[in-house]
Order: sequence, then C-alpha cells, then structure tokens
Amino acid sequence: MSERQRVNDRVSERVVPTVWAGVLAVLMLGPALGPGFVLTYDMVWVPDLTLTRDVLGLGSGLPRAVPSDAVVAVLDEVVPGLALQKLVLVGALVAAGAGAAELVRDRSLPARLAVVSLTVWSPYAAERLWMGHWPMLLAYAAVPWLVVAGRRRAAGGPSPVWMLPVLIAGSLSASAGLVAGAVLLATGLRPGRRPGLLVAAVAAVNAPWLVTGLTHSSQAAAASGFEVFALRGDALPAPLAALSLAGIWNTSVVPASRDGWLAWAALALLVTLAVAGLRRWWTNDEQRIPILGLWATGLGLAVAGWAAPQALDALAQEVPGLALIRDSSRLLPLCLPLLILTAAAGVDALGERLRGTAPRWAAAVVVAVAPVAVLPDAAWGLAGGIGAADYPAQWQHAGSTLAQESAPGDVLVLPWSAYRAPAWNAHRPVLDPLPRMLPRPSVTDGDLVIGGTTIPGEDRRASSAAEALTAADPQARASALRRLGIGYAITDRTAGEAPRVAGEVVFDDGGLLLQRLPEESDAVTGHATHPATLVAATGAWAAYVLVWLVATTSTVLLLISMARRRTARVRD
Amino acid sequence: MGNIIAIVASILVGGGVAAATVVGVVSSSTDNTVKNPPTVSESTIQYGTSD
Repeated sequence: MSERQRVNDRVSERVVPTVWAGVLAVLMLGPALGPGFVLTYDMVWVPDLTLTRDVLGLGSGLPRAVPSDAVVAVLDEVVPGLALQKLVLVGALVAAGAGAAELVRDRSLPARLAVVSLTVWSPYAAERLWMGHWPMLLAYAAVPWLVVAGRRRAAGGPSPVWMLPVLIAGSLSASAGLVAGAVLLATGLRPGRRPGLLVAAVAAVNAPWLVTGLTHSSQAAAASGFEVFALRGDALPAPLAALSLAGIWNTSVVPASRDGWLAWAALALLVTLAVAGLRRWWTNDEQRIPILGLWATGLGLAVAGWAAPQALDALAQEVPGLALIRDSSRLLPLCLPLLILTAAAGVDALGERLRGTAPRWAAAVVVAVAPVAVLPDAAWGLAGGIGAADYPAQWQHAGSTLAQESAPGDVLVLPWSAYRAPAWNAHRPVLDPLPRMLPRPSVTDGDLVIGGTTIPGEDRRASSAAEALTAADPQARASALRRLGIGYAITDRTAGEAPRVAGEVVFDDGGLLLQRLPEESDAVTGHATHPATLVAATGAWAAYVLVWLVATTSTVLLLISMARRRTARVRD
Repeated sequence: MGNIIAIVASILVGGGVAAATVVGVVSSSTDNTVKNPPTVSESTIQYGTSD
C-alpha cells in the first residue's frame, strides 16, 4: 500500500468521523461554548473548586459528586475551571462520536458517519446535557471505547494504553462507574487474560464513591423517589422511549420535538437500521452475548423503574445501594454498543441494495443527517435550554473574605432551598453554586421539589439545621446552628426570602450577606468524621490516586513514543 | 434513463432531508421555546417537573 493510500485510509477511518462529531458537538452546545460557565440543574462548575471534606465525600451529606468534584478540584489547579468545563463538554460529545466510529471501524464511511450522528445527537446526550449530568455524558462517551478495549483484551491482544484513562474519565460518579465498569468487564473479562487485574482496576476507580457511600449507607437507605425519578415516556410510551435512549424523568429538560411525531420518526429510524443490521451483526460478532446482555440490562433496569417504582422504593429501604438506580434511565448507555453495532451493519446492508453512486451518496447523506432532523431542537444550546453565564464578582469576594476568617465551623447557605434560578444565569434552574464557591464545608437544604412533590434529603445534619431555622428569633436560630458546628451563615438575598439569623456581618454587598455566628459555650467546631470512616476513605482515595498515577504515566510514555516514531519517520 | 431517474431521485431525497434538517435546526434555534422560571421571588426552585 502506498503512503498516499495509507493517509487516505487514515483520514477516512478516523479523521472524517471525528470531524463530523466535532461539528455536531459545536452545533449542539452553541452558545454554551461562549465565555462563562454552563450552569444547568446538576451541572455546577466554579472558577476554583476547593478540596474540602464535602468534595472528598467525608461531609454529612450523601457523596453524590464523588469523585467528580475532587477530580475537578485538583485539575482546576492546572487548567482554569472555565476551560476545563468546555473541554469536558466538547470532549465528551466528540469522544462519544469518535468512539462509535471506532467501534465499527470495519464498516463503510457512511455507516460510521451514521453511528456518529446517532450517538452524538441522541436524546440521551441532549437530555443529560441539559440536566447537567456531565459525568454520565463522559460515561456515555467512554462506552464505545471501553467495548473496543474489552474486545482487544478478550481477543488476546494487549490492553490499549488509553483504556485506563478512559475508564477513569467514564467513572466519575456512582452511576457512571457502574456503566463504565459493567461495559469493560462484560467485554474484556476472560479467563487467562489476567481478569483479576481488570477487576482491580474497575474496583479502584470506583472505590471513592463506593467506600464513602457505604459510610453513609443508613442515609442511602432512606433515599426514596423511584416513582418520581422513573423512566418517563414523551410522545412515545416509556419503554419505547427507552429504546430510543430517551425517557428522562424531568420533563423540563426534554426537547419539545420529543413530544411530537418526530419522536416516532426517530424510533422508526433507529429500529429500521438496527433490524436491517441485526442478522449481519449477529453472525459476525463473537461478543454478541455480552453486547446483548448489556443492552438487556440497561433497558431492563430503565423499564423496571417505570414498571415497579413502589416495589423498588420498598426494596431500597432494605438494600442501600439500590437507590443508585432510582433515576433508572441514567443507565441507558449500556444499550449503546448494540445500537451502534446493529445500526452500522444496517446502513451497510441497506446501502448494498442500492445501485449507482448517486443513490449511495444520497443514502449516506440521509443516514448521517436524519438523527439531527428528528431532534432539531437539540441544536444551539438545546434551543436556549443551556447557555454560558458569569458569576457576579462579589461571589468571589465573599469567598475570599471567608477564606481569611479564623473562627471555627462550617457555613450554612440561605435561602433554605437546594436550587436557584439566578437572573444572571437567565433564570435557568441550577443547584446552588454558592457552596462550591466557598473555601469551607457547607450545610445546605437537600430536599428536592419535583412537580409539587418534595423528596426529602438524606443529610441528617441538614435536617437538624432546618429545624434550627424554625426557632423563634434570629438569636435562637444562631445558637441552635452553632451547636450543630455551623460557624457562619451566607445569605443570597437575590434568591428569595430567607430566615434571619443573628451574627456579626463579615461581608455585605447588598446581594450576599456573610455572617459570623456568635460564640456559644457548648458549640461544636464542625462535622466530626468517625476514625474508621476516615481510614476506609483514605484507603479508597489512595487506590484511586494509584490508578491515576498508572494512567498518567502510561499516557505520557505513549505520547513520548508517538513523538519519537513521528520524528523517526520524518528523518527517514 | 434509469440512471437519470436514480440521480434525480437521489438529489431530491438527499437534498430534501438535508434541507429539512437545516430548516428544522435553524427554526428551533431561533424560535426559542424554552421557558425558564420568570421570577425568583419564591426561594424554592423546582428540581424538575414530572407532568
């Protein structure tokens, strides 16, 4: 093969699908790529996240953002938080598309472009982006790559150097870790292929949330809400929505087109391609059972949350970890490998029936743009659903002021509600970012209000703080809070009514009010972590850091080796 | 003759889908249907809706 032919093949194999994924990513994110942070529902990024006890999962609340927040807190010391967030959002979508194309590398270019579109421009990617579940987006992006890595291992080849970094990136939350771990183990775990090493790697990347979650297991058992968080249908009945990788519980983040006939068109497109390619895939894939198993597990869990929410709610009281799957459609990326593999085979099967260049080109265009055509309002920041916003300057000033304070205690954040819709964020709902701007652990309301239903938070310290706030006067509230180890209160006056607490004003710009609560003789200095918890969490984080070190070292060595090879080629 | 019909049909189908996609994307982006909470006077902001 000539050098020119090799270059052409490489462009066709990798560059074109990756560029197409990049185009789709930019089109979907649109204004969210502008200056400012993307703040939407659970997506809260700040300029410089402090590595506090909460971030490490050692606070009083359930460790929901472990290890994602800790990773961001460390990485934003090297790359500014703003740039890091853009990198994560664009990178997740591009990697998802490029991974899909890589998974079906032996298929035609139209087939690879079609799966890039189906993967990047999917209801799952759009809805989870809007919901702010960025660790799930990374897990979604990691899935095809982990299948590729797992297949190489299972086939007897060496594990790709990028396998560990991809596993780490795809396991930044509990649900994400479950998805990434399941995919890698299902496809890569084979006797005689050092299965122990693979299991150890998966366990280590999931250790932080697993261990800190176990130390909060009694709180996790109190978690409920399977009915509210269950898979939900849009224009399609819930199980059919799940087939199209849609069905998020929050109807506020569902693109409007999913409520009309376009949802049926999207399902028809996906089913047509998958059915057309099913036989071809089944006869050619040695890993059909694991791939089918992953699909059945993802779909089964999603549908179970919809079919039997009350039974699962009851079961979750006995089985702490079960609450992890209450947002049951979150695990739908497990279905992705089968959809990619069958759809690509379907495009090729249908393409072979066409005669002549023009019909084939037309078919290629149709399958590449059809996923966009049936979900047009995922474009340009989800038609205004997400955007970029700057924090008010005084937020940083309040954080800096608090950093200089020496009185003991954590910070209470008021008004007493978990979510905000700030004017400076175009009134987009977002988990209150203020606690993440503060250099100390905070106590916030953990209750979730969904369509008039309140799902109680699990943090007992927050419940005690809520009770303290019901005291008769500001002085009594401050005293009660002080006895909970709360030394400061910060009130965002622009976010609505808040109960007043007595305290010395440390910072006040009219919008934010930071107060130091009065000293109390029987006050505690903060939330105390049990020594056994501390030892277990330290072990988990040590294992996690070790995996990071191995992944970083191997990546650097790979880059050096690639650079050397390139230099040698140029010399030749 | 068959070839010409195939080419014309291909241009119509491929071009039609591509054009419909562009129109859909542009109109969705310009006709912003997303309604964020108009007021923050209530301090309890909903995490989501399930209706």
